[in-house]
Amino acid sequence: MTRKALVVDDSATMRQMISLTLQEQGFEVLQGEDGADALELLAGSEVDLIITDLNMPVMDGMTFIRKVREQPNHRFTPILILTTEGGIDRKLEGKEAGATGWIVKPFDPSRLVRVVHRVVA
Amino acid sequence: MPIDVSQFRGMFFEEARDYVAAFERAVLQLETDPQDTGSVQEMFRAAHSLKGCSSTLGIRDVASFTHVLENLLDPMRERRIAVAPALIELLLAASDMLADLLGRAKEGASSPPGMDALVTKLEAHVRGVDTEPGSPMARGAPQTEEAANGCYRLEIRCQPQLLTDGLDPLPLLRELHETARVEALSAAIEQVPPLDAIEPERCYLGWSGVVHMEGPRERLLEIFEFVEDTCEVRLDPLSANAEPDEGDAVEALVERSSGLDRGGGETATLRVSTARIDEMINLVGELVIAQAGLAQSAGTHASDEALLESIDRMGRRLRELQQCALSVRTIPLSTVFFRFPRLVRDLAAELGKQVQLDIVGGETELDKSVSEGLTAPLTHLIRNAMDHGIETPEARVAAGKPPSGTLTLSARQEHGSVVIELQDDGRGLDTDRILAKARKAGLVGRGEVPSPERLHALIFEPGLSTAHGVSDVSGRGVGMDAARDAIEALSGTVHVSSTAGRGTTARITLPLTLAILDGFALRVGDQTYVVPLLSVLEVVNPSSEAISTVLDRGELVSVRGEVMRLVRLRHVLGHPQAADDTAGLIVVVEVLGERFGLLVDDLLGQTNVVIKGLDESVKTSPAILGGSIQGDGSIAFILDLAGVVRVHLAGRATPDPIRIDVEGRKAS
Repeated sequence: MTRKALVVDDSATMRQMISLTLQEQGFEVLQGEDGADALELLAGSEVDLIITDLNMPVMDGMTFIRKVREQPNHRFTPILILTTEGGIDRKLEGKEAGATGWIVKPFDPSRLVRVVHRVVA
Repeated sequence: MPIDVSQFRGMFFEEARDYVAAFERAVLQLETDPQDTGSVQEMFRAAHSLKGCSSTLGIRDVASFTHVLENLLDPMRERRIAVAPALIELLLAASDMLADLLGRAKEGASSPPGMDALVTKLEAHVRGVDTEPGSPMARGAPQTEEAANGCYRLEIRCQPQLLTDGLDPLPLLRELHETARVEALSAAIEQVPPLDAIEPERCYLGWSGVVHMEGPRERLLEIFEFVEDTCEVRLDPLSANAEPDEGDAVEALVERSSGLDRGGGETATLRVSTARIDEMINLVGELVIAQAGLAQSAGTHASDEALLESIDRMGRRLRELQQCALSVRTIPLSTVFFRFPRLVRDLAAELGKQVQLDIVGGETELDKSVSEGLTAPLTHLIRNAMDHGIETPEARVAAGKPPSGTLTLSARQEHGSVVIELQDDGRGLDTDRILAKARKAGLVGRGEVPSPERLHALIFEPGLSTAHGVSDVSGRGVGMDAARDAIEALSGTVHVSSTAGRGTTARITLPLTLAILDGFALRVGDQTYVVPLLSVLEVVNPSSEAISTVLDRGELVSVRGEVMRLVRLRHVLGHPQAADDTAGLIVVVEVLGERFGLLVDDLLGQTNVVIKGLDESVKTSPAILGGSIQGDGSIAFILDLAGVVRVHLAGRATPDPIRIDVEGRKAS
C-alpha cells in the first residue's frame, strides 16, 4: 500500500526538496503552502505522515498542528516540524502543540529519510 | 472475552519460590564477594520478574514491595551503594519478607506485620544515595559516559501517552537494529495492566536489552531523541569486568527469545500438577501388575513360545516405562539444600562460631515429596551439629584445629537408595555423657554395655540431650527424635557415627521414591506382608534358647549377643498363635532407632511393590501402611513398622504366659 505524506511549507523549493526525497522512498506526496491550505487538503484524505514548517503566512505551523490533533482521525498521525539547529524552545513548543518530532534544517536527504523512518512504521 | 489471569496464580507461586531462592542465593554470594556484580544482576532479575508477574496478577503487596526493592537494587547495579553488612542484612530481611508475602498472598491473607517498617528502611537506604547527583532514571539527564568496548545495557520504559502524539516505539526499535548490533532485546511488561483495564491508545511496554555499537554513544541516544519526554531511556555502559555475567544474561535472553521464535512449540520444562503425575504413576503401576498376572497365567496355560516371548518383552518395556514415569516425580536435592547456606550463616552468627558449609551432590535426584519432607529433619541435624558438634573458634584452636569448622552436606545415589550425609569436624559425641544420661532415663539397663552403634543411636531418643544448657539454637522442643521420626516417615533411616575430637557424621538413607517400595515379602498366617527392605538388617533362625521374657520389657530375643524386643507378628496382626515358635523366622528390623526381632512364619523374598492406599474401612490396623496387588491378583499388606511397634507395645499389657525360659536371662 502506498503511503501518503503531506508536506507544508511556504517555500516551494523546500516543499519540492522534501517531496522528492519522500517520493523516492515510495510516498505519495500532497503539498500545502500554509496551515490553512494544508487543513483543506487533509479534510478529504488520510495521510501517514505530515511534515510542516513553523513560520508560515495565513496559519502558522503551531496552530496547524493543534488543529490537526483536534481531528480524531489524526490523533496518532506522525507530525514532524522543520526547525533550525539549536531551536530548542521551538522543538519543545512544537511537541507541546502535538508534534511527534522534528527535522533540523539544514538537512540532507539521508538524514531526512532516517528521521522519517523513525516515526513511520 | 478477556482471559482470566487468575488461572496463572498457581504457576506464579510455584515460580516465585524459585525467584526468592535465587534472590537469597545472590545475597549470600554478594556477601562473600562484594564485588560480584553478577549477584546484583541476579537479585534485580528476580525482583523484576516477581514484580512483573505479581502486578499482572493483581498481587499488590508483592508488586509494591518488589518495586521498592528494585529502587534499591538499581543504584546497586551501578555501584552507587556500597556493599556493607547492613545492606546484606537489609537484603536478607527483604528476601524473608518476599517469602512471607508470597506465602500470605497464596493463602489470600493480608500483608505481614513489619512490611511497612521494612519498606521504610529500604527507602531510607535508597534516599541516602539518591540525593547524589545523576539519579539514574532522571529524565533527559545527559549521559556522556561511553563504553570502551561499545557494549551497553539499554532500558526503555514508555509512558502511556506515548502513542497519542504520533510516536510509535516500533520504528525506534527498527532503527536501533539498523544502527547497532542488538544482542538481546526483551519486552518489559510489568506495566501492562490486566486485559480489561488496557486502553488501546496507551502504551504500556518497555524494553530491556544489550546493544553493541562502535563509535559515539550519541548516535544511539539520537534514536530516542523524540521520546525524551515520554520515555525513560537509559543506556549504561557495560564495564569490562561485568561482561562475563552480562554474557550469561545475554545468553539467557537469547535462549529465551529463540524459544519464542520457534513459536513456543519447544519448551525446556513443563509444570504439571503432582496429582496428574501420581495418577500416571499409579496407572503404570497397575499395568505392571496386570502384565505380571498375564505372564503368570500365560506361563501356566499357554505353550506358545512366541506369545510368551511377547509378554516377556512387554514386561521389560513396562518396567522401563515405570522407571521413566517415576523419574518425573524426582527433583534435584539442591531444591532442599539451597536454604542451608543461609541457615548456617545465621546460626554461626548467633552461636559465635565460624562455620563453612560445603554442599556436594545437590544434583542428586529424589522423589519430590521425600525431598520436601527432608527440610525439617535436615535443618534440625544442622542445628544440632552447629550447636553441639562444632566448637567455638577458641576451643578449636586450643584443640589444634583451624578456627573455622566445616560442615559437609553431601548426597549420592547408592544401590537404589539416596544417601545424604551431614559431616562435621567438631568435638564428636560425648559417649560417656550419653551413656550416663541413658542409664538415668532407663534407656540402658544397669549392667548393659551397649555397642558403639547403639550408643550413638541413643541421641535420637526423646529427652536425651547432652547440651550443657538449652541454647537458643537447638532445644526448641524439637529433639533429635523428631528428626528421626520425620526421616522414618519418609521410609528412610538415619544413623550417626562419631569419633571423639574428630567429628560426627549423620547418615540418612532414603528410598528413591515413595510410590514403589523396595520390600521384603514375608508370610504370617495365610497372609503375605511386605516390610521396607531398608529397615531389614538380618534374618535368623530362632533357637528356643534365644527367647526370654523380662518383666516390664516383655519378650526379648538375643541375636548374636544383642538383646532386643521380640515382636510376634501373628499377635500384632491378629492371626491365631502358632503352635511352635521355633518353626518361624526372626527378621531383625530397625525402627524408631531401636532393633526389634519380628517373628514371622516364612520369608518370601525381596520384592518391588506399588503402594496403594487402602480405604479406611479396610485399613483397620495402625500396623498397616497400605496394600499392594500381587502378580496373581492377591493382596499383600505393607507394614508400617513404627505402627507395628506401637501395637506391640500397647498389647504388652497382657503378656503371654512365659513360653520359653532361658538360663540366666530371667528377670530379677
